[in-house]
Amino acid sequence: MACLADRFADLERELNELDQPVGDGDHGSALKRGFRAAAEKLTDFKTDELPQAILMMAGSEFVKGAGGASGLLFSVLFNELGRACGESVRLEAPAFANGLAACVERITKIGKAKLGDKTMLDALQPASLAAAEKTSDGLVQSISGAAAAAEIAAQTTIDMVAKRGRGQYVAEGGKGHVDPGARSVAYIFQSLKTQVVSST
Amino acid sequence: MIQGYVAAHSDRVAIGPKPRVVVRAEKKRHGRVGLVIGNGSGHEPIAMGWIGRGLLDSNAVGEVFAAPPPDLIVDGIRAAEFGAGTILLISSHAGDILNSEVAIEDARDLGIDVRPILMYDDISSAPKGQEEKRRGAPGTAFVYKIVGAAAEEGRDIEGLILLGERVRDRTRTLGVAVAPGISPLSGEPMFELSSDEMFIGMGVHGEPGIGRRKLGQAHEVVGEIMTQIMEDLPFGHGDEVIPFINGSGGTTLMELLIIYGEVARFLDERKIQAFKPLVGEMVTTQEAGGFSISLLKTDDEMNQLWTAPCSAPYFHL
Repeated sequence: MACLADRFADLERELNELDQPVGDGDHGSALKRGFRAAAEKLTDFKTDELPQAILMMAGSEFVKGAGGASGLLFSVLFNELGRACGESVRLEAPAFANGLAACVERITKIGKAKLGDKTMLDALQPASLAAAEKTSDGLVQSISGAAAAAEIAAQTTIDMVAKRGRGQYVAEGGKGHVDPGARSVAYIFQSLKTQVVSST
Repeated sequence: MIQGYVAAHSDRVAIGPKPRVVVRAEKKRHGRVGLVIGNGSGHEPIAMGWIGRGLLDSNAVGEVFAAPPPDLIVDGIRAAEFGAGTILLISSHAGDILNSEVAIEDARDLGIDVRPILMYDDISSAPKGQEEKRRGAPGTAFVYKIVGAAAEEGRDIEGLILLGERVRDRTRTLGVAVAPGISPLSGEPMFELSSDEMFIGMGVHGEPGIGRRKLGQAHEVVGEIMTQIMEDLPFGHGDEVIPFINGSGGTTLMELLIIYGEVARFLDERKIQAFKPLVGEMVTTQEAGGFSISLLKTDDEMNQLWTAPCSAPYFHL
């Protein structure tokens, strides 16, 4: 969380700029606030806390810190990963894949988005599929697969026409601009990969 | 900002049980339906400025242009409970809807009777026939005031919801931007516009609009906007309307009054009566230059509620 907080503090300006032509220019600020709130709260946690407790606390602090649609939607990622961990003392590949799948399902339900609507789902769903494919190769491979898939998928949102969020109201639904939510999803997985790789 | 507001109007508003919930200084009588909204800040005076007798009971204040999270909205709902249920107003934007829907579920799990009124009025954001996909824009003001007045009188919650939805369904708004506001977060202008252009259909958060045009005279600009609004409901000969000219923050009162003059003339030429217009900066987008026109097709009941006394610090007719 601390690494995500630092990374998204660095990314704030870039993500705000991506959000400016298709929204109100605050996507980067929202995520920075969210990660910072989660990281700060977690400094009180002991390192032997269960992953579920850590992830769900991260989710609930994230939504409070970030606000807006992204606050709510991105918090689902941490809540569902946490739920998928159950009583495990470690985050393992199957829980990671199950958590991502549950996240995709919940975001689809509450956000009422479909693939191709030019949202975070367009990066999250391919990431989820990639993670599931690599489950038997272990967590590092699973996260790496998710990160690679999310990166490619985020780029494909450039030519999509937005059907959800503020982007749907701009000329041509923001065609020609990458979706900030999808880009953030790719950055999150990239950070997770870096973290997991460096700790093995 | 909340501290400053509450200090400036301590006779009428106060900080609630939580720091980002603003409430009336003197609570509503028990047995009346409460009225609350959770929304992003940055649009002052709305919504915080509209807390008071005859209007809102509480406001859950989010970050600038960002809907507050569910737990904060639940705090706002709890501060608007007086034993007869609570209405949560929702301005139709993704963040407001997402967070409010979760808040309603959470509040109901706690045994609170809370019901939503979803507000949408901006004609530029979806075509006629798909009104429920439209954004909330300054015309939401009519719902706040009319439902607020009726709640103060003691109407029951079902009646208030029907009234609010009726007001919403008879409201149409269209706005134009002539100069961008500066985002308080990034310090950058929210969009680019050259000095001889205007954007029709700018969103209340400075989201780019759908039509760039060359700037025209007040008469032409008003004519174009009013024609589109009129066709949309439609409004026609013999109707009575309440007009609301909202300044986005960077347009002078002088200009807003010139605009209203053109609106009055336009309506008069078409034999449409104007009742008690509201002209002012109520729903701002920082210092954005521009304005919106909202029309409510009104009736005697709505007229009475629109002009009912209220003591919110920043509502005036």
